Amino acid sequence: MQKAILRIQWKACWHLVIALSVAAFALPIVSVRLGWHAAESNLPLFLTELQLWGFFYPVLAAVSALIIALGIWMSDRRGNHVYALLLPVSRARYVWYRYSAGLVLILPVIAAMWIGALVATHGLDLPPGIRIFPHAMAAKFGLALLLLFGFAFAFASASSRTIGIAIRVLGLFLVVHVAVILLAPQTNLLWITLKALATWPGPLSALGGRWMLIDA
Amino acid sequence: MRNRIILIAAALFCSLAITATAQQANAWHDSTVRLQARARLLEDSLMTGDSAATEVARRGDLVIAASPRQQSIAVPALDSFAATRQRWFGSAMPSPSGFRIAVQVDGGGRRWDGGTPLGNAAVGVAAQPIGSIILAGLPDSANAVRRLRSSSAADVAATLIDQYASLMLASDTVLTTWLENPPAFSVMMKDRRHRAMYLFVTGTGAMERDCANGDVASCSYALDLEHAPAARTGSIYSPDLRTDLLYYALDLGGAGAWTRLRNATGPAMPAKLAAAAQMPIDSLLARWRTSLLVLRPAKAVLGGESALVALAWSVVLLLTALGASRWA
Repeated sequence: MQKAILRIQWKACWHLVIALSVAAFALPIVSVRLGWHAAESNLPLFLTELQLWGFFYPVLAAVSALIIALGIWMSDRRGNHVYALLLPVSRARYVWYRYSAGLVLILPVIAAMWIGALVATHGLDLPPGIRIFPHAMAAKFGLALLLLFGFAFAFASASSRTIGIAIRVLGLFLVVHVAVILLAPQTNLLWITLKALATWPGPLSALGGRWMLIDA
Repeated sequence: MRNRIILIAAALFCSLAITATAQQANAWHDSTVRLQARARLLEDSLMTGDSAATEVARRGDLVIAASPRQQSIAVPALDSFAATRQRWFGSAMPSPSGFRIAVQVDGGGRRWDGGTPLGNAAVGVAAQPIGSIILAGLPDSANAVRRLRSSSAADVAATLIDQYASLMLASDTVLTTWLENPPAFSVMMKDRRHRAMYLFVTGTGAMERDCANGDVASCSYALDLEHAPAARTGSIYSPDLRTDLLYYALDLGGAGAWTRLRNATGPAMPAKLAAAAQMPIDSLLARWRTSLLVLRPAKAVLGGESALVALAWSVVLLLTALGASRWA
């Protein structure tokens, strides 16, 4: 059954996976090669530009995760999960099959980014104090993609009722946040929550930090 | 007997006359000192446009005066200044006559030097002076070096130390020539070593590359401490990096480093730096290079902790998905 689900998912998403892989392959190459001609005379400026390009790696990971997760569950949601409920497997096992097949689909994107990073940094005449991080960048991109895929997958696999509850909880939180801001302007619940999510050991902490393919 | 009385009377008269002359001379001297002090105050008030500044505090050979509204910020500024000065320059003065730095404090409004982002026409309201602070290093005689600057109240301490450091660097011609155009002290000290590390490792010239690779002679050429041989031409490190080396040497040398730098025999810059750091110039350059290279990011792109956290949260999200998918 695992293979069958993988085949179905591949048929549904192959064009998306290929498009995302091309983008992942091109990103490091474009980011390095666009500014490399000027780097010989102004390497600090090149590194600054590269730092700005680093913003696109987590964005690409987020877009890839969202597209693949939604693509995986598109048919099930359209059919109100009837197909899944008819299968002689438990819900949890079915979700696991979907998840593991999704992991297979994100692998080409990570591999493409890794190869792109290797191509981009190959043959650069860098000063001795500068280091390149194609492997670490690919690993970080892979982890970020895995994490964000987990988020998007959990959201996309949830029932309409669960999503409704989640949206109501979020709305309630925003109302409480506004009320607290009005009563005590120095307390910003939204900011505190976002900070907790984005800093260690928050779930989004892996997205922060340095996204530098070339650095000191 | 009569002659003796006349003699005694004459002697008494003469002694009184001498006393009177001495008193007059002392009075003249006091008067001259008072006049000099008043002239300096007048000059300061003309410089700052503020005649209400009065002495607020003294710390050793430093005196600070401020207009009434600025007195509350003058004392902390003096303390901050005194601590920073002691740390980097000891008790040295930019000139034997002392120094005087006058700061026109403004309300912190918009300030510009000439043009604006919208063109040459001035737009907005200029910062209005609201008082002044005058810092003097004693003896503060007539030949003391002087500076006048404008600053917001929050930046007074930084302005004072910037001007003092600038006066100190300008007091040595060899140093001035070598540093060319050093950055302001407060700007320099803000994340100084991190910025220096990036400037060091991103040098693309041949000598800079050799220096980063560990060739101390190339460091000497790249830092313009020695003239490179004709065969070894190429770009050299910026004044920012040279200034970092100077402060690194002062830091390494500890107490009295600046005095040793000033008093070093021989006009060459390497001798001054070596005297400040109390070690041979090659050792100083090697230590400086190592100190910069160790500042490179240790974690680089991905840390082990972050990786573990990401994996752990992925498992949590998977378990959430397994539990949240109750469609019917």
